[in-house]
Amino acid sequence: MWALAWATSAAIAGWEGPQGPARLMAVAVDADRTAVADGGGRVWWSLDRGVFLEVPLPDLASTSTESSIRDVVDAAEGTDTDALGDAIDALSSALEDVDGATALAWSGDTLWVGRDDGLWRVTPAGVVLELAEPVRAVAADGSNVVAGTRSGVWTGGTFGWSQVGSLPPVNDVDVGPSGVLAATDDGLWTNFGAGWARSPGRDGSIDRVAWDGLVGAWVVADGVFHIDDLALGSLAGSGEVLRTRDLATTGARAAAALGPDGLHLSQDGGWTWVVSPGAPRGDDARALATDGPGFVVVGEGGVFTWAPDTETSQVASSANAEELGALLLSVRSRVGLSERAGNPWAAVALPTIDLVGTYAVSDGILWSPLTGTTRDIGADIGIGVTLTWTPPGRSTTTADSTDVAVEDIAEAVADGSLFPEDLDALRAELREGATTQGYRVGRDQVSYLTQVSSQVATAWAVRSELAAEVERPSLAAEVDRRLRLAELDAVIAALTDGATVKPLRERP
Amino acid sequence: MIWTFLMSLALAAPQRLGLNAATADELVASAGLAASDAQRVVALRTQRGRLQSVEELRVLGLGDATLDALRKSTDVEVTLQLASARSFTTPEEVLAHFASEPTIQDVQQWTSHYAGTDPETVARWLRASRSFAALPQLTLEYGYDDGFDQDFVYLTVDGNTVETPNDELFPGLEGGGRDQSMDFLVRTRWDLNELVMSSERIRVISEAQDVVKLRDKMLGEVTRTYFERRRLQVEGLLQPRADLLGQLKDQLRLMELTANLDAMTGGAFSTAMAR
Repeated sequence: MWALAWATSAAIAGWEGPQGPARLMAVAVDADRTAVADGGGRVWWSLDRGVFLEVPLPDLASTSTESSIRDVVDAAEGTDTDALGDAIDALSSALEDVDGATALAWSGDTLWVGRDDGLWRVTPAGVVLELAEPVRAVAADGSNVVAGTRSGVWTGGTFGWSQVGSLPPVNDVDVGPSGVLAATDDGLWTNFGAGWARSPGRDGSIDRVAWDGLVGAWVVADGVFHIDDLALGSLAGSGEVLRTRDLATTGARAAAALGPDGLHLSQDGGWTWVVSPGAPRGDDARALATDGPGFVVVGEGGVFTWAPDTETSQVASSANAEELGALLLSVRSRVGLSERAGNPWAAVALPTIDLVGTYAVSDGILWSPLTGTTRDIGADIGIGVTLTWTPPGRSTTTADSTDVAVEDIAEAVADGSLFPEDLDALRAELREGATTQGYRVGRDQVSYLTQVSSQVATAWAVRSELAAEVERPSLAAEVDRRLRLAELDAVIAALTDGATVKPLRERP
Repeated sequence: MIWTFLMSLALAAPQRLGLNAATADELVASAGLAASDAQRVVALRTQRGRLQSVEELRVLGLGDATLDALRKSTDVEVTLQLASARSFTTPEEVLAHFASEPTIQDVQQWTSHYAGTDPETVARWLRASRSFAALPQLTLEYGYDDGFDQDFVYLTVDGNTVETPNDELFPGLEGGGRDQSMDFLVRTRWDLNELVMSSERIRVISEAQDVVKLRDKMLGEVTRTYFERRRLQVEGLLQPRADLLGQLKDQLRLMELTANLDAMTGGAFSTAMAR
């Protein structure tokens, strides 16, 4: 488990604090540069981690929030309840826009700021408007900069900015060596250089997305998910943290998610999450960014820097982290839970081979007084090869055999041992092809692995707490503690196929 | 002071036998056991001194019907010696009191084995499923045809045809014949795509998952039972109940938990205890 220590809170010149007009909503960190922004579009930056100075961006025009509030007040004074309802909806939308209004990204010495009035390029030399389009997200990787808008993704180049295809409204973007990811109102979209493709497996709105450093990505929707293989679109949805406001990653398997109940940390690809004690919670925590091995959180109290704890129980924490990681790895490699059904597309490429050999002998006799007896003996040998390619998803069960099986099941329904509503599901299951079967089995596998991983992590966490306790004064209580430790060890051993135990006694 | 109680829900039934007192003949007569089974039960009892429950007899490989008949026709008496708190100074000393009993790892392994859910078994299935597709479907066909043409024409020596043959006529044949043929076919079929992904293998994977779930469930239950029993034992050592009824209840609970462990390990738990 990470042991994070609260380090410092930097001063921000000109920011009015909790009583001010807008809350801090975004943060971007790059080496020794930090930038923060509030919901009203004001941006501060610190080039040396010292005092934050406000970036001289023009004020946003009258905010939609102010006008929306005025509309609500006007509607409330009238008698038209529909108008009041519309005004309240508009205000809610405006407030949501404010919460995510300003986007920040560092690219070398340049800070990119996305606001309702466009994308701004900020350098020590000045401020330049690069793209006059409301920007909701911006990301940079070296010299590659991309911006997400309601109409899609834009990328900057030598000759200005251009739109890279049209997409549903974009909520977040990320760019890396492999390509561009876009979290939209209609799923996750990927672009590896050959156009956009919608990643299957997760419908609906995606709020945030981030490359994991390899070929996978972290996704925030109604929780935090990790997708292992974007190319196949397989959904390895794993750990889940609800109502996530922001996400940051520190490695391929490590991530932090900020929500109303605090900072959640995962070190195993999202399988398990723990809440970091002491982190800002609720409205105190609004935005999150990676800062080397630690994190930066911004909220009402300012900017908080978190770093791995180097003073308190670091050795124990490191050992425990390795121990839990090994345990979870054991869970995922258990016999019976680590088998893969196979790749349907690879299967398509391989044919069925029919090799047929024939051998025929014939012996014909014809009797005739005129021609005498004639006899014809012959033999034929033949060999043939046939290659057949079969499309994927074809059912391996014939309709007839399915119907017979379904009739058997119907008898079970009749005698009350099977509920009628299960019949359709069973019929569908019988008729599904290998591809569908494979996906279903894989989904069940992921689901059960998640459940077992969670059980192991919980048992490990409880065990760690128990083990860290000082010896209890009462003999009975101390024996009970040791028995509890042994029981947790046994639970963990059972769920990891004995990863923590040595060879056992023979069965008597 | 030693108290002995008869553990039975049907004390009014006089025909029930004491499991630790019945002879082999009585077990045959009252419980309907086969003579050989009855003798094995008595031999096991003699070897162990006494039996705690019918579940201990699972180690003999008796069938469910036999065990059920014994449950219905026999009682097990509870021998209780009023205990007082013993003096221990360290946790190690307390736990060393149970050093001769099977460990939880032993019990888990026996449970998994008895339920047929060992990881080794599952691994064997999965290994076998990989070879399914490597072996071809083999079809052999053999056909034999013997045709005999009986459409004979009888001819005289000068070549004229007659309706009915007789000895004066040359029994010549025209158009008669026989054809024989044999056909052999060997067809081998490899579904190479099933080397990558096959319904059969997916079914095996699915079954393997179910077996793992069953094992997890059983091991969870046996672990819980094992430690509940151990806590009860510890409590009996450190803080035994003062009253006879309380100690009797604890003793019954201990027997119940031991029987549950035997039921889940096929009697291996008590067998190890007896050793």
